[in-house]
Amino acid sequence: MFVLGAWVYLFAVCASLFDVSDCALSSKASGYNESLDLKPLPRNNLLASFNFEIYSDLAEGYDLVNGTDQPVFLAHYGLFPRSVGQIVKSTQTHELHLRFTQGWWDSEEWGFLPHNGKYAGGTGVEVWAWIAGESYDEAENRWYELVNALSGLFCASLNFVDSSRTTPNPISFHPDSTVSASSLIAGKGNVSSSSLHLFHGSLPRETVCTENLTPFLKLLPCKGRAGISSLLDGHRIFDSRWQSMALDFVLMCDSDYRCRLHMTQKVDVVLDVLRSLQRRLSPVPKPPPAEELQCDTSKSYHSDSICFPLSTPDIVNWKLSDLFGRKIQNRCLLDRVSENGVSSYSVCAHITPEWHLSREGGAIVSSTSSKACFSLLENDEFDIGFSTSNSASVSKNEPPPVYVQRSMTGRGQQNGGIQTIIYNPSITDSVSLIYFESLPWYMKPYIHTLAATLSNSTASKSTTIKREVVKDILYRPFLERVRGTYLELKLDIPPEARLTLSYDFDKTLLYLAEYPPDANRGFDVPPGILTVLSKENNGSYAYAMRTSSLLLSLPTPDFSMPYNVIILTSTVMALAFGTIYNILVRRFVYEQDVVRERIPLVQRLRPRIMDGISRWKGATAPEIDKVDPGADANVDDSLDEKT
Amino acid sequence: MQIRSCREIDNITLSLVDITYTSNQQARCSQTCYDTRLNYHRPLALMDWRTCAAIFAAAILRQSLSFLFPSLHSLLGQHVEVTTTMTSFKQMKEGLHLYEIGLSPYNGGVYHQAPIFLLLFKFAGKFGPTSPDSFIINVLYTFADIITAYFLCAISKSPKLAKTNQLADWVIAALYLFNPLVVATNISRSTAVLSNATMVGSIAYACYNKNILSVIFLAVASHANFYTIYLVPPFLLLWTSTTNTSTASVTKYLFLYITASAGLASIGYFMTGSWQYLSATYGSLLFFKDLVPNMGLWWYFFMEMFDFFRPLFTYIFQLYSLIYVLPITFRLHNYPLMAITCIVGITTISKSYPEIGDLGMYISLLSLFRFIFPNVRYALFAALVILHSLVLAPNFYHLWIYLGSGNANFIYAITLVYTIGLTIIITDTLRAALRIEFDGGADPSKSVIQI
Repeated sequence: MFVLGAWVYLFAVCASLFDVSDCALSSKASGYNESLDLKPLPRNNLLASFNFEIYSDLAEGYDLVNGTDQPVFLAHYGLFPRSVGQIVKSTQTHELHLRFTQGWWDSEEWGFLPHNGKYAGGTGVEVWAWIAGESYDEAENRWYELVNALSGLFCASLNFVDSSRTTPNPISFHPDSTVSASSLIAGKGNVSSSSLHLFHGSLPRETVCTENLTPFLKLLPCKGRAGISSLLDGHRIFDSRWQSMALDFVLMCDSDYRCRLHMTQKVDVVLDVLRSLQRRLSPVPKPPPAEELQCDTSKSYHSDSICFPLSTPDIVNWKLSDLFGRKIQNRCLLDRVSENGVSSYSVCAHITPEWHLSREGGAIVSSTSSKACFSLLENDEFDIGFSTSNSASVSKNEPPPVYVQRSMTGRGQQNGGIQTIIYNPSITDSVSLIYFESLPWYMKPYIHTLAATLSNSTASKSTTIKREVVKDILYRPFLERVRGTYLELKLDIPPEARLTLSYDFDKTLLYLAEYPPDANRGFDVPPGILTVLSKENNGSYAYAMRTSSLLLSLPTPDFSMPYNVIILTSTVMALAFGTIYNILVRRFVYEQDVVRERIPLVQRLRPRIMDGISRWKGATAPEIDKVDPGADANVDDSLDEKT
Repeated sequence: MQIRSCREIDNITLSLVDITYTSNQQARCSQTCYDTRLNYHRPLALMDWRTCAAIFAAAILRQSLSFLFPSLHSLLGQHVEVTTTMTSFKQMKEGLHLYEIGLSPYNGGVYHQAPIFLLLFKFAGKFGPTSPDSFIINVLYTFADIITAYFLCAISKSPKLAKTNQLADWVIAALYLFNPLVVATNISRSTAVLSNATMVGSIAYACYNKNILSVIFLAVASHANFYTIYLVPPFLLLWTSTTNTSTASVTKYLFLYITASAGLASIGYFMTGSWQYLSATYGSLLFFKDLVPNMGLWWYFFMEMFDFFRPLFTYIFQLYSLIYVLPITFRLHNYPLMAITCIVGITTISKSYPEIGDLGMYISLLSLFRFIFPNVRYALFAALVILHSLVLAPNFYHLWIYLGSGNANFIYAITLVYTIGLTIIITDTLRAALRIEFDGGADPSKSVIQI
């Protein structure tokens, strides 16, 4: 049954990518596929989803484990980037997911995340991977190897993913490959102790920028020179409301150990159309002239001289090249989808009948009132124009299964609380989900203060419930400088209910060198991850979304003080030590019993001076020493007594 | 104050609780002492009606504070001067919660307190909720304070001190029970209240030659609060003072103490199933893992210290707290109680997580030594320095943490002042005690010097 499943899957992959016959013919060869989906969103935003898929040659006997028999690893990668292939091979990575995300996805306006949130990360950089290892420690070492290699490859600070930022084996994530490697390994029979370990790490502070995009594009066969990837210009992509770059590597195997490396790269961008147009016309923002103003005519005071401008104009007219700064250059000839020459698409626009499309170059593949698809041609430039008189009319995205917001409570820098509100908008269905949170070790949560409060919009009565809503809690406490807190909750939220999760935490101080240069900005707390489980499919993945990251302000020391503190504290300690030992070691006498001869200073010093003189004179007058040796001794004693 | 043998009044069987709540039995609470070698459950000493009244009033004060200001517990529990991460009730609750849901509280940086507290509070949980203002916790903490006061009175009247001129019992009890530092520590539900009670208990039992009980109490106290282990050398003097201080008897009591401590340590092992708790409790205390402001010298020093030197200075700081123990024990071998008091005072300065309750305990122990007071020279000055620091510390902390108008140096400076004030008290009383040792306080008119 398992073998059948694997073949069915392989078949499905082939079918979705190209013709079945094509799949059978070129099943051993590597391939590449790219597409772009454009979708206007409310308030003149545009969602552009770039999709690239690369898969390697089919290799027989992929070396899953360094077993006794050394099966042949991939001889050559084909279109698959060798840099990634070598990294995943040397670290025994079976699945790798890497996300670079900036901005905020407005769920209430824009609805579902693209691809059901599968390829959207949390703010900053997020990475998780399934890695094979005979022991957990071995896999963990490979994980650090992997993130360090990725750090170099993508110019990101992934090397800062250390044990304190790594969460092992969270249940929120599900592997993409259907054939689990552990069963493969077990079936292979030689190394049965090896198994896969999941690691998750995130860097919420990482600023995603053009230095991450450039290496990202270099992995593509056409390297951003031709095809839809030629649109990806850092200046435009990162001037967006929300953008997410994803790289997903999956080792896809069948039951005969025939495997191929499969990599999906995605770039999803929400562009603010008006801002992009404005940026093109004049880099310096300035108010539009009166004749270009679009007024809200429904206002009572509206007249020729008084205008209340519309927040987003209804009448818009723009082209793809206006937003991205250039047209799509050529066609990426390695794109196997269009190898047949006909009936495949590259660029699709999802619109409503109120929109008009104009094409420049390319060829129409299909066109309906809600969707128009085009293919790119060789030696051609491609551009689409979008125009409408009602920009608010967009094809509606479904609302997400839940809404979430997370915030910090409390004041001061000693302690605080975190409050997460999850809202289920559905009227009929309850939602079961997993809420994952990893906190840095310098946040010290109190799990006994964790409270789940359910408030129903119908009854508006809030009750503190635990068991009915919180099905399960997975928790691993932090350890200073070693690991952070990991918290995972299995939740079941009734329809139209609002669940408030809250707990207290303490803040701690760090060592001087552990503070970043801008310590008073605060520390970023990674976003929480909600994984909604589908009801029908026995708890498999249905949707994923992230909360925003939080800014945690910690108390800071005076950074200029190290020497002062060392000196002052040591002085106080020495003071106590000196005084106590002075009292302890010396003996008491009555003052009156101490013989104290009051000899003037001159007299006390005289014998010494004379002594010095005599020595200076040498052996000429040794008698002076012998004048009054008794007095000399007396004087020394009294000196000692006084000190 | 005369001490009569217990055998004269053997028929009086008043338990401590009876004393607290039956004020009409004041007449029988005469200045007496039991030497109940045979019946350990009998009280060590009975108290006069003033002491009973003081204890009663203190119990009323604690109950009414808890009743009138229920938020006071968490407010004081958050104050870094009053509780530390080693004694915080909230962290105790967290550890207890983890323990009760089946996780090891020591597998992580959450809980640093001894396993015995888990047992105690789990047991207390059987009688009601263990929130800071709940009935059972209230009773437990009030009882701990009362029994500490009772033990202090007992020490004051013990044969080891009775020959000297002592403060009245009720003064000693009131000095402890109404000391704002002690009250604040109690209301914050710091677990130091409990470990202090056992420590004072072990002194009291040692004073009445109930050495086995004393050894057990000291083992519990040092299990709960690591720095109490420094009291072992003077305690050895105390335990062997009635017999000849021979190597054999010293070895015997040392062996007993180590056995008792090992027994307690193994309780922790059997509770949590691993020795991990040792590094989570004593390890994090010795190596100062949890960087939180307090009234001590450690936190800012190690916060600012360069990484490379941190281990070196950790050793030096721990050595610093240890280095006084033997010299003081040897020098004050005639006054083991005074040696204990001095070491308690010095660890208040040098321990890694000090709190103001330690100072309250130290002052109360000092109040037992009425005979050294005439020789104390800087009492007013030291009191003003301490008062100054205690008033400013919460304010400066507030300025730094909540208002942001001050920085960490403010509270750091105050901890230095606090330490200097404590140093003055310690050196002054130590000198006064040695002065008494010199001539028994025979001739206060003669001035002495040290050479």
